[in-house]
Amino acid sequence: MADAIHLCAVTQDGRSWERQVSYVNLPTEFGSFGILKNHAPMLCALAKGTVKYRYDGDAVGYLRISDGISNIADNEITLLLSDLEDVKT
Amino acid sequence: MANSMRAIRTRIRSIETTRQITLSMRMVSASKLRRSQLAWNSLKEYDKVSRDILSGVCTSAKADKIPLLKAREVRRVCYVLFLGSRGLCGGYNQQLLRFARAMLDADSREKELVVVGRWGREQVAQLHQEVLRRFDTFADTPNPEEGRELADFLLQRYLDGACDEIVLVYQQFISVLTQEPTSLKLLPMKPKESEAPLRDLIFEPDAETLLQKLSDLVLHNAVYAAMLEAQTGEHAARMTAMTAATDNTEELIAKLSLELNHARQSAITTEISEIVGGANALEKK
Repeated sequence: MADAIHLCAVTQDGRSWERQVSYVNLPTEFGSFGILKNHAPMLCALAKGTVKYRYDGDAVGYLRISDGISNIADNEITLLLSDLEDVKT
Repeated sequence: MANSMRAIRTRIRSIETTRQITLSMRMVSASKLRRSQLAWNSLKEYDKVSRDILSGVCTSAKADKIPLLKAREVRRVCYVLFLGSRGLCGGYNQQLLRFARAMLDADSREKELVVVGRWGREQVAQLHQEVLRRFDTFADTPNPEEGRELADFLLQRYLDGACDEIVLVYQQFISVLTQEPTSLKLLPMKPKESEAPLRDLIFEPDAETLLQKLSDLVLHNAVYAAMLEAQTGEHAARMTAMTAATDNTEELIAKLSLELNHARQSAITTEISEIVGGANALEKK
């Protein structure tokens, strides 16, 4: 599957991170959920945890995040966070 | 003559010392300006994205349920004045104070004043408005925690009903050379309603909790951004003032050096005339 979702994260201190992905798993207070392309528009509160994303076929990446808000619309996911760390595993 | 030359030399030395001070202050301000401008620019993207999301999901029906978005009858207004942390920055503080005085005088509603910045305790008294609280321990480049401290204080007053409107008064940063006093209504918030038709949004956990969280976030950003913008303006104003002061000292040193050379030249001329006069007198004998 082509990487049709644009995942973008911004933090208050100006750090931003973005990547084309095919699948994203977001942590919330009520558990995590996955997003594939053409997901319905959604506004969602994020909990502190790890965002998992798939890109370039089967490659998997992780972002360690603080709590925040995510906005999902038109295959574009924006994460508003107070802290963010790109981790390999 | 020797006395006058000594006096000029002393003045030149004293002006050179002043020049060193103004030059150092200019360099310090330039470095602080860079730092706060960087922090401010970084925040802009986050601020824009959060405002865009809020505008995109906010309708008047939903806004009525959120205290920060709901307009209410205004009986008491809280003005937050962002002054500089110290002087020596040209007309930065005085200009803002004049603007604030005109604004407070024109507003006949009940008012309260919160001051951010260390400068001008006596000058603030000219506003004839009791200061409810003064935040004077913030760093030269405020950090997000300091922004949160101020935002939480204002938020609490608004939620407690102690005031019904909050207005930020600060110097808008237009360029390094220009800052303009401005005011921004912080609360109640009025997000721009999106022109695009609202889609059927899924809210997780629910619309009220999310709008509350999002409006809190936008409020904290707005306060922190105003703090950073005011600080950036102050550093820019100080840098400009110190550059002008350094230029003035250089001009003064050049003028005094010329005076010193004139004085020295006339002293030499007098001395030569005296020697020639003495020699002529000896010859005539």
